[in-house]
Amino acid sequence: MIWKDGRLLSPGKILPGDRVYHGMRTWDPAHSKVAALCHIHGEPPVKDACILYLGAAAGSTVSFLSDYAEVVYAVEFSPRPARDLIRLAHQRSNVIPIFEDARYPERYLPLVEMVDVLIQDIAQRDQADIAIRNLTFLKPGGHLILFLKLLSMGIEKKREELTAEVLMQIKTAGIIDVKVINLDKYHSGHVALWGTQSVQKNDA
Amino acid sequence: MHGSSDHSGDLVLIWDITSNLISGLVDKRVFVTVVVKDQDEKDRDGKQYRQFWYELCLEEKKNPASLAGSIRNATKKIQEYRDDSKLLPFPVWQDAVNAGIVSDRKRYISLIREISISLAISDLEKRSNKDEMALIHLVRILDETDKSISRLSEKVEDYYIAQHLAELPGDERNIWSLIDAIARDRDHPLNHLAKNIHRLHDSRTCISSDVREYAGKILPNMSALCGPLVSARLLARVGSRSQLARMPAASLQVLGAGPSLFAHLSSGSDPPKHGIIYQYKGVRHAKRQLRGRVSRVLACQLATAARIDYYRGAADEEFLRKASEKITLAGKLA
Repeated sequence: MIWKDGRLLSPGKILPGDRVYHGMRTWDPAHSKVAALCHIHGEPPVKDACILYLGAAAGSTVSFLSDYAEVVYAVEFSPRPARDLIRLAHQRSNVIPIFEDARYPERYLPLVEMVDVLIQDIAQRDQADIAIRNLTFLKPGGHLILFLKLLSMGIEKKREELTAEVLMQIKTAGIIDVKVINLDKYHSGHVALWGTQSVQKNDA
Repeated sequence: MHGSSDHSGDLVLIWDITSNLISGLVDKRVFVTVVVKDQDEKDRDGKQYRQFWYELCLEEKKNPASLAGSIRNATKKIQEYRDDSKLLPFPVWQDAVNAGIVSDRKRYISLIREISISLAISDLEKRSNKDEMALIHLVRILDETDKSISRLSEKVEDYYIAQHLAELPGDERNIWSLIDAIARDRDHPLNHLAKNIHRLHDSRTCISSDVREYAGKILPNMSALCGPLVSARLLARVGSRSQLARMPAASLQVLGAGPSLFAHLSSGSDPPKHGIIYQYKGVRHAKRQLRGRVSRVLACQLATAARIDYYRGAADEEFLRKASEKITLAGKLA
């Protein structure tokens, strides 16, 4: 990815309203969790990758990912942001909008290929479940990035407890080498879990 | 035919049933040929039972229609197949190339993008009920307009009071006549604003009559029970008629009374008697000790009315007569 003076930049088409630095769009970590992850921990392997993004909203993060990736399948179920997402897809040739509920991947199973990177950015109580259901799309050795909004999972339990719980869940689902990355610096109350799909599980 | 072995199994079964049930009454040979023909037709359908999405585009490719038209047709077909779970999962782009549908990976992505956009747009349109959404947004706009009018008027009054401190309290004017006076006084610094408040009020009248009209159409039974505006506000709070129809009466009763409901749940204060339905005059004007009963009965009838409105969509005179009787009865002292 392209960095300049500590800023993450994005090489794609510039649209009105985009913040530009040295002729490129800046990818602000305060506005995008993926950018925050790049700043705090490291870059996910999105270059020329095939990505499935759950919870695309109006597609601002998706637009940056599409600058680097080969193709981005973007799932969003809320009508209002879905409209913006469709508009974005008109402008970018590698964004594929999917207007479905990510809880029911069988609805878009026939349209989406196997992907290299699965990003889950839906802040719901069952956010870990949603990611696990969509693991069928992830190639063996592919990367899962799960953004957890801890507040969405209730306020009764402590942050460490919740994270540990989800960690167990995705490990049982076949994700290995999971790293827990605290995103508080840019997005308070958010944690990223980053792991890879184990190769053995899919062979079996 | 690859499915022939399955057929024979079906046939034996049917043969057994028929010979047991109607032996002697029907010529078995005739019956069997009928069954075979039937199975044949099913099999012809069965051949194209499950397909990849791009295979559905292939048929469209042969059509001489325009590109946009063929995308639209393919989308419709894919939608149909998807809703019947007849699409195969995990498409592989190389397959589509081998089948001659697209020439390379780039074209594959461009095709799936076109199809997805068109699918998303059509699903979006299907999901939104235009009249229902119009009503919900109109009533939200109406309430926002009301809020703006009263906030602006208040500020104008504040300004007036600050300028006329010496006036005795008895001389304080009604806020509307004050705005009227300012709107007439061309030299007043707030003249233009006062005129706009007037205009805002006119807009409010238009919107409110629109809301009444839509609510009468979309929520005929609820509107008849508690008035179109209150019905529309209930709908706007819940978000859709389908959710409104699934709502228990007890929730309808306290809809809009969130803070006091949660205060009740967490600290055990008295539960709220009414939320939005307090705006219905039958509740508002009921005797204090009866308000709880009236709102409870009203909410029960509204829950039924919401279901009739959603599932049947027309006013039910018989139900309305009985329901209003119950509500009036609840407002009378026993």
